[in-house]
Amino acid sequence: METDVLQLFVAGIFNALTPYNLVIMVIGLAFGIIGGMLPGIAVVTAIALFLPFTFTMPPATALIALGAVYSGATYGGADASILINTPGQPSSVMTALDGYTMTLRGEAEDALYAALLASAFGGIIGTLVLLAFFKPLANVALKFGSESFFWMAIFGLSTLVAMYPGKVLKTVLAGIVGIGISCVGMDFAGGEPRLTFGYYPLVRGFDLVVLMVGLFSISQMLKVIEESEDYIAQYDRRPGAFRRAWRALLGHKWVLSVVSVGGTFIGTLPGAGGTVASIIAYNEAKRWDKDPDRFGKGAIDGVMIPEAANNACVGGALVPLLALGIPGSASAAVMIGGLLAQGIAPGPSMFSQNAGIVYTFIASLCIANVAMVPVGYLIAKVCARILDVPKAVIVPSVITLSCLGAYAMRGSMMDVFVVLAAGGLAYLFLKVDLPPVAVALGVVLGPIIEENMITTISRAQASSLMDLFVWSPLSLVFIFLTAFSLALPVWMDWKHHKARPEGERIPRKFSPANLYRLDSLMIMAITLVCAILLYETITNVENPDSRLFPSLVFGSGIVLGLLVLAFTLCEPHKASSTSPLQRHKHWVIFQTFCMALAGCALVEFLGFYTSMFLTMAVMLLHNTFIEKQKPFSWKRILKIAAVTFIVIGVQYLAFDKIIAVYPPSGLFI
Amino acid sequence: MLRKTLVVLMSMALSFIVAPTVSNAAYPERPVKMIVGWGADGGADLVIRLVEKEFQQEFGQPLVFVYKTGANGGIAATEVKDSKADGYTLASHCNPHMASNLITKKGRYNLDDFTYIAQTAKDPVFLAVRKDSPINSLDDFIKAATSGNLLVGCIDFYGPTNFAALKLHKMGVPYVMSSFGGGPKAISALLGGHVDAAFLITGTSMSSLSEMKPLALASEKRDPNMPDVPTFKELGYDIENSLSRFWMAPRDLPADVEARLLQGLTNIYKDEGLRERCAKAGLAVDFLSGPELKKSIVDSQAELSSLIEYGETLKKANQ
Repeated sequence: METDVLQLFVAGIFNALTPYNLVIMVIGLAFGIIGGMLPGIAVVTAIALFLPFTFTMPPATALIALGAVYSGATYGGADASILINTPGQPSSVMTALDGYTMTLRGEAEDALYAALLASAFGGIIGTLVLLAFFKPLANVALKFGSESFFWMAIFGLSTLVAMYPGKVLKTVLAGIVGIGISCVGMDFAGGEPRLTFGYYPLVRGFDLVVLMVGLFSISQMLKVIEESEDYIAQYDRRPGAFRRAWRALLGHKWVLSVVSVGGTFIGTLPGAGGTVASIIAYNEAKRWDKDPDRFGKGAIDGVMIPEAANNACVGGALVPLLALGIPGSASAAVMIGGLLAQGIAPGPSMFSQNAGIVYTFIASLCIANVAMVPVGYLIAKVCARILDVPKAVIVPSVITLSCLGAYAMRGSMMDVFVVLAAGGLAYLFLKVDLPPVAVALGVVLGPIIEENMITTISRAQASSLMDLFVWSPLSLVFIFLTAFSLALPVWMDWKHHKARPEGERIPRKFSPANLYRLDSLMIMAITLVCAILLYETITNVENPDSRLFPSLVFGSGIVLGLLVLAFTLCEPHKASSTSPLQRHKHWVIFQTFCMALAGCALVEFLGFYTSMFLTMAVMLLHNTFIEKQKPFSWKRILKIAAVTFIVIGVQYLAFDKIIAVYPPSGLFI
Repeated sequence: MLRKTLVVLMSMALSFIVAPTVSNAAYPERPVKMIVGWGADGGADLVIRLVEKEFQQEFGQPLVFVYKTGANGGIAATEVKDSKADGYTLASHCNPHMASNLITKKGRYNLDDFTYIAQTAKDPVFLAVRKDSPINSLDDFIKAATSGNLLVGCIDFYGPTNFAALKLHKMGVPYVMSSFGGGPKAISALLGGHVDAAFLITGTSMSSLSEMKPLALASEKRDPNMPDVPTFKELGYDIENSLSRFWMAPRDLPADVEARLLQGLTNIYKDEGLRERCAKAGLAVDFLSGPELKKSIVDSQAELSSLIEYGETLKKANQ
């Protein structure tokens, strides 16, 4: 049997290595990487967009192309994360933590190549695991019932506690805000519109990708305005970046292998996917490291670990597809569509009827991950140039692109305003030490927790709740892991606390002046919103199954909010230290935000691209003539018009001609 | 000279703007928007993707896919209702989701807000257990259900599988029902032993059929993909539930456009090769013209509202 698989695999490698297949593979990779980089183009969207091109290809080539797009898009998210702290994909959120810090230090190229090599490494390990163990893996994945998913998500959430030592309560509160956001819309259990306040578009809830774009990309752009430098980061062209990244890969090969195998496994679970894998991988690697404090401060393995894990998921997602005919992710489901259009039924029968195609495909995934290195290298090299662009141009470009991406996600104008609102909110959150990463974690894990909790409760009607939730073996494993993950940071904190000399401990005393601080006000607002939403849930949601989870979430939001408020009020009072310059910067940020809002409000009247053109032009004019107080000249005006025209023109071509998304048009396009 | 050129250019530009509205004899003249109410990974998308190539050959224009997921198709239907009835906005929609949204009033539309063009596929519901289950027939299943707590999975809440499950339950077969968010999750739960049996639909379950044992099919005739599986009717239970997949457009679609679409779809689905490809994908072609389709939706409403009522009382009883 073993040699059989090996023979088929080797034959597959040769089948995949025809020049035609290689050309298609490179096109697919480039398409995937660029699509994955753009905020608003999810991996599944990139694959769905490429699907029609594959209809005319022979089946094996079509699969090779789709596999290449899948791998490329999963990796592509990292580039934007590293360069502008804007995760192109939800699965690259963790990559930004260390990647962007490296960029700020001038090590952008090191981080980009490290992410690339780690992605390729993870992808290859994932494929090899798929090849060797797909049948047993599929059987283990099936053992995951709703109760195991529930505990796995709780385990993922428990990492909130360890994320920012010393700010545990605030981080957890931010996580609850995220879970609360995910409760809006049609609920899983009763199919009832929940917390919509009668506004119909809210029925579909908030989109994960749209929120991510807002939380990270818009807020980052606002934050960039604050800095006084003209460029986002210094781009040092230090020779040998690729060699250093390669050495980092070799130096961390063991930890990367472990997270890749773990990522592959998480990929096999339907409904979990790359985001969950990268979050768990990053936090576990941090927990087990000798010096966990390095993470988040520009550690190169902090970039490599989440990328290896999420690309390993690609192989994992194909396990249930090949072994059982069940897609492990939405992207895998689109690939099933591609197979069916070719007249091939996916699932176990593929191995008997189309073994040649299957092994060619699996082999091609390995080759695609190798080919991704040169393709990704070239793209990363070009993209790193973005750091040579003055931030005055980058800020409006990214804001307009984010709005377009948000629209493209679900074709809804509401999402464009959501992206701006989430961005503004995340900026304020950053100001008061409520980490947006924790909000994102809540948004990702909240629905998984609720859905599986409700399913488990309904399944428990046929047995007992305790048996399912607590006494099933997998539940016990995850409960143990969660308890460990909660206890460890508390213990470390206690040890740390005891080690500190008596004199350094700050006495806590209530100081009413703290009430007017931004953080107190924000926390009060959060608590108040939780209270309003709790009231709304209890009074207006009829179905008890739909009521349970939001009540729990908002209830704990209130308790935690009050607790954090009490701590904040008891902090020693500091006189406000905002300098006039800072205050001026805040004013500029507010202006920029309002310009973006006004631009989006004009969309229905003028058309999307025209309003975005105006928005960007106004931002640039404002920056040049009011901020920098350059003297007026037609040459400058012309330059601004030209830059704006090029940026918006590229967006138009990309979205209108290639991706075929048609945002609303008004008087103009 | 300059003025002349300008006039020529202007009139050319004008003719571009005016031309499309002058005649729609040559419908379609530009890409057609296809609104899909479920994700790119679902059957509503697949059923159109299977004929994407043929649509372009037949009509000379491509389809542009727009996904409007949410509210069991309600979001997409609302979007269709608010679109212009010019034939450039079509939608891939499903029943009983259409009917159940009308009954529960969760959609903000009426039956008459749409032009129903044609039903192209119909996936019957079937009841299945794991391959290694001791249950071998519907009789075994009913025996097991009456003797103890049997857990039965469905694909989605108030979708076709849930209705079939409610109907058998209403006939006096006691079991606990649990809905999963989508086909893949329900199938995983069945294969992983997290439910004892599951109501599934043929379309998206075809690829994992070899891992399960179908007991009965909720259709009037047997399915060619599982010829040995009896229908519920053969076994004495009057259960017929299926997922009907159809094309629709906003109301008041011009008659000539509607006729062109119906004729085009009829041509597309006549092709034997295509029908075979669809059958392989589990989306067996079952063509119905607009009026027949609309009648079937209307007819299904009475039964579905009684089942929804039954479902609500069950829910209340459990509290």
